Parts: sequence; C-alpha cells; structure tokens
Amino acid sequence: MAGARPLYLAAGFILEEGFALAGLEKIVISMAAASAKAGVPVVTGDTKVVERGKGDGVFITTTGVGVIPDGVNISGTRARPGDKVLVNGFIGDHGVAILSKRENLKFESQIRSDSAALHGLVAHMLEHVLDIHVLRDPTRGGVAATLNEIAWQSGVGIHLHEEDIPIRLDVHAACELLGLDPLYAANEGKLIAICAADEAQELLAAMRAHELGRDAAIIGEVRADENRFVTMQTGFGGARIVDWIAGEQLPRIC
Amino acid sequence: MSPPKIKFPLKMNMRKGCVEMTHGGGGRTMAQFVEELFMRHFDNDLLRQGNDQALFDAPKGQMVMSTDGHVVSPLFSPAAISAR
Repeated sequence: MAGARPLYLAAGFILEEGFALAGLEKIVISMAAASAKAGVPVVTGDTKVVERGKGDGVFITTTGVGVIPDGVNISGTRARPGDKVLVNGFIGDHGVAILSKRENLKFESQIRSDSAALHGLVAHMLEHVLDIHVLRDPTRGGVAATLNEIAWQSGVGIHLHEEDIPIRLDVHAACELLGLDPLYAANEGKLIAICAADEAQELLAAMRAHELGRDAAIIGEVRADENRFVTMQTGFGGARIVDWIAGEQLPRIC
Repeated sequence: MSPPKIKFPLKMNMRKGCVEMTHGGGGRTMAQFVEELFMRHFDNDLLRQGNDQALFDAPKGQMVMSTDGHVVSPLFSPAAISAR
C-alpha cells in the first residue's frame, strides 16, 4: 500500500509431513494464477518439510518488491485534519466468510471473501489523484484497527459516518447473529484511502470507475484530536468511540 | 540457455501422495518435488535459471518491499497474493 508498481514475488513454504500433494498442488495452482493475473511472477522461493504434528498443514510466506513512481508519497503519517477517508467497497465480507466456513455455519446467501489484488486499482487511483496521503488495507482487525493505526501514526482523530459505510445486508445480518462488529472483521480486497478534502470527489469517481471500486464511498474525515480517537456518528444520531481492541473480536456465546 | 531437464526415477503421485520428509531432504526427491510442483506452475524465466536467487536489474526510483504470512485454513480458500 505504498502505491508501488509490484515487480517480483518470493514464496516460502513450510510443509507438514503428510500434507496431501493434491491439496498442495491446488494451492500452488491458485497462487500461480493470481500471480499471472497480477502480472507479478514468483521468481524465487524455498520449501521446508517439518515432521508430522509440527506444522498446521502448510505455512506460506510471500515477499514482494516493487518500485514507487515519481511524485507518490504515501505514508501512515500523512493524514491531516480536513482530509477525507474513503473505502473501495463493502467491508467485512472476508472475515464473515472465513468464520462461517470454519465454524460450519450455513447462511441462506453465500457470503464470499472479497480477496483481490489491489495494485491495479491503486495505479488507477494515482493516475487521477497523485497526492494520496495514506493507503492501507484493512486486513486483520478490520477497518477499525487500520484507522486506529493511522490515527496514531499521524497524530490525528478520525470521525466516521455509520450510514456512509458500505456493508452488505447479509454480512450485517450475519454479524448481528454472531455478535460481531463488521468494522472489526477482516477484508482481503479492500483499501482505505485518505486524501485532501478538495480531491476526495475526484478520487471517489476514479475508484468507482474501476471494477474493484464500484461500491467505493467516503466514510469519514480526519480531525485534530490529541487523543487520536477513531469515532463514529451512529445511525441513531449519537457518537461512539471505535476502539482499538487489544486482541481478537470474540463471538457472543449467549 | 536453460539447464537440461533432470530425469527422475519414480513418478510423483499428485492425486494420492503426501508430503514426505525426503521432499525437504535436499536430494533428488526434493529436486523432483520442487520441479514438478512449484516450477511447473510458477514457471517463468527468472525461476527457470534454477538458482537459489533471482537476478534482476535494479529499477530506477524508490523501492518498496513487503512481506506477508499465510495460513491456509479453511483449505478451500486460495491465498490471494499481491505485492502491496
């Protein structure tokens, strides 16, 4: 999320003895397909085998190198009061999809992970607004964790508008059922972008013109706040703090 | 010029086989494992050099590097790879 043009990938595999070759081949084929689609080849790698019981099937580490185009200066330290906060689409899909699969929960609608490589979208965004201040992908910990990180790094507060945050109806419903807050659910095809207020509409239009940004929205703004809080105007009209939770979000048990 | 192909004595059973300790042993079984599983699918010129490292010209401008760990659970989900 530095606005770089990705060049190459390295992939390391730690494999547990006994892991099915068919499963491994399926993983490698899908990685190769994703790499080919993104135009970023895997140029070096490593494999290790650990004894049965010493590894959870397979652990994969990927490392990428890229080059930053001239004029691009993206950093978590660059959010400024007055800036607008944007997201490229529906949040919470991945976290809910994975949780339901792991816990064997079946919903009437298929909640799918939003996994996607975003460098094409990022390149497209930079063509329209070169001076994007911050870009980050809200993976573990969701949008909430990512915004708290940025607020902390930049020394600012971030204020969101609940009604503007795109969340699919079925993800919302699944979260209600599971006692999860979609703001904390992981995403795998989403990015948060922060830019100056006067460039926000242009950035939004650029994102919506791209297939991975059709549902992009401006979800809030940056403000001066020495406490570096992330807050949200709720649908009810009140305001709440979107806390930086210490650990993992636990599903409600009763 | 790419190196000549090594001949492997036994065929790997992709459908029913499992990862074995010898696949990490450094011997011919490992070479076959790497060739028939990884090289075959990731195939590209830099990888085909068959070295421990990839050699390429340094591009102009500022470079960025990032790394990411992945567990594959549940198994159906392909790891979405992107250099961010």
